[in-house]
Amino acid sequence: MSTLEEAKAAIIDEFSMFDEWLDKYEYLIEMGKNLDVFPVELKTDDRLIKGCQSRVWLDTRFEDGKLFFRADSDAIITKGIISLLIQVYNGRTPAEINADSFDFVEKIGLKENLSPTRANGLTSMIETIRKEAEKHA
Amino acid sequence: MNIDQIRALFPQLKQEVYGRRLVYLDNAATSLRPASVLEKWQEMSTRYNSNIHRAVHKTAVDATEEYESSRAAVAAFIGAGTEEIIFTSGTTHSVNMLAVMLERASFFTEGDEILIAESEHHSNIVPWQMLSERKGLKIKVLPVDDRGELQLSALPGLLTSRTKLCCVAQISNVLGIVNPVEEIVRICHANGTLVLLDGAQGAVHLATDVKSIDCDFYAFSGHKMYAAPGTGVLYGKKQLLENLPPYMGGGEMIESVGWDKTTFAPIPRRFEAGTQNLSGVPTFKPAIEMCKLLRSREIENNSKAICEYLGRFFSSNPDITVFGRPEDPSKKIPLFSIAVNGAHHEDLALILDKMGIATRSGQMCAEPLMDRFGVTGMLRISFAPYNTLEEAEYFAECLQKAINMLK
Repeated sequence: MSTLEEAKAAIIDEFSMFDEWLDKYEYLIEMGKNLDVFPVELKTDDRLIKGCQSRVWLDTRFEDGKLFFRADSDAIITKGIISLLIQVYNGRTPAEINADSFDFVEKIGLKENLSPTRANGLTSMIETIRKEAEKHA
Repeated sequence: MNIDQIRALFPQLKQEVYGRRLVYLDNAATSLRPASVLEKWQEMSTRYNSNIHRAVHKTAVDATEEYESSRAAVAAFIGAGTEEIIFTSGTTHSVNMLAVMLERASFFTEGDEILIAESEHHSNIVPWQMLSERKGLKIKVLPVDDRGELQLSALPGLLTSRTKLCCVAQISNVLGIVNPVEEIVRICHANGTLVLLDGAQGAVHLATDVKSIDCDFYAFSGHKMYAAPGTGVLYGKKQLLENLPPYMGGGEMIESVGWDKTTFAPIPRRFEAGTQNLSGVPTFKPAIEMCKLLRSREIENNSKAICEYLGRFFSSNPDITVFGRPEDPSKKIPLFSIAVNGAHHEDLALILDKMGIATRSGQMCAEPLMDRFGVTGMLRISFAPYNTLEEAEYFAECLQKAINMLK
């Protein structure tokens, strides 16, 4: 398994190939469609990050010193970005996550998907990943 | 004036996003501003900057004149008396202020009722819920039918001897339907119920005469009708305003101040505490001129053509649901909120954005209405007189592309 840094670098590299916005979105839509199925029984209110736009469900588990994340969204582009976040942060130790600057989503040019609008699901998801890592540090 | 000449008056229409010409279809959120408004806005800072209603020097007197002539212009625009116009920071401010003033005037007693339309914007719901919590009031809901039209037949049954106030929008910001406000006012008044109209969408779209509608209060924002942001109006009937206490204290809202007793200025100054939006308020004058200019036959025909074209486009696609379909098509403004089967509103808005089209997605500050229609959000496009049929066609083409990408 690659390190967190390697996983990030791979995604940044992948996205550097897209000149067109719509190609980037096509790719994210594909990633979103291929995201592991999120069990229906986990779609509970306490896992739901309800926002004005898309809804995000996030399930966190701490096991053997590592953090594991599963997530879902009703919007496919958000789901694509979730898939990227999981590639980078899933199965990492809290120390690895705490050392990260969480800037790769910006680096691949998806900053507006993380706009500080009311309860943006994705922003909250990143916040939760960060908090979980701090909690278990 | 033809559309091209009108478009030339709005500098932001020349703006490009992602290398494409901006197609601005989020006018219900805020309108673009014409050069005349931008010039006045700047002039208030570069030529007339001084505090109003206080000093005797030339600049202050001129600034006061700019400010007070705006009040006269706004009053004439909606058919009100000058003393009935209170400047606020926007519709939300107007509604909140009214709620607090009515509370302080002991207008409500525990157990009284407020009737609110189901299609209201949060700004015409939440201030009343907050007041209800404080005063032990009951909120009742005037429902909409499946077309999005207010169920007027339910209104008499919802009014009781305790219904003190009815809050309803002149035009819904989600459904784009012109509500039958005259009739609502008539029915409410027969019951002794006062009516607050939210004119946030109505002020720019309709020639409004508050006296002929006979509403008791009318709230609207400057920024949705080409004026500067941070400007708004609360209209109230003179005899009602005269019996309302101030909202905030300080500044020029007083008549005299003493340690023993302070008395307040007459209306409307009593309600305008502190330094006002000196640069913004005077932009109401050029904004109102723009509203009048844009109420031409040519613009009306253009808007009708856009509505007809999009109506046909939406109904040709079985995956698209349009919310707000009044029986009488003339009651619909060029504002469409839709849901697309199999495509999330946020995804659509993000893709359209990259094609240069500004739309709105989400709950549109009307969560109860989203619940009513069983959706988590909608995609809204709202047109202004400077939008063209070509832009509507481009939107339709791009929406179809976006849907194909997401399917």
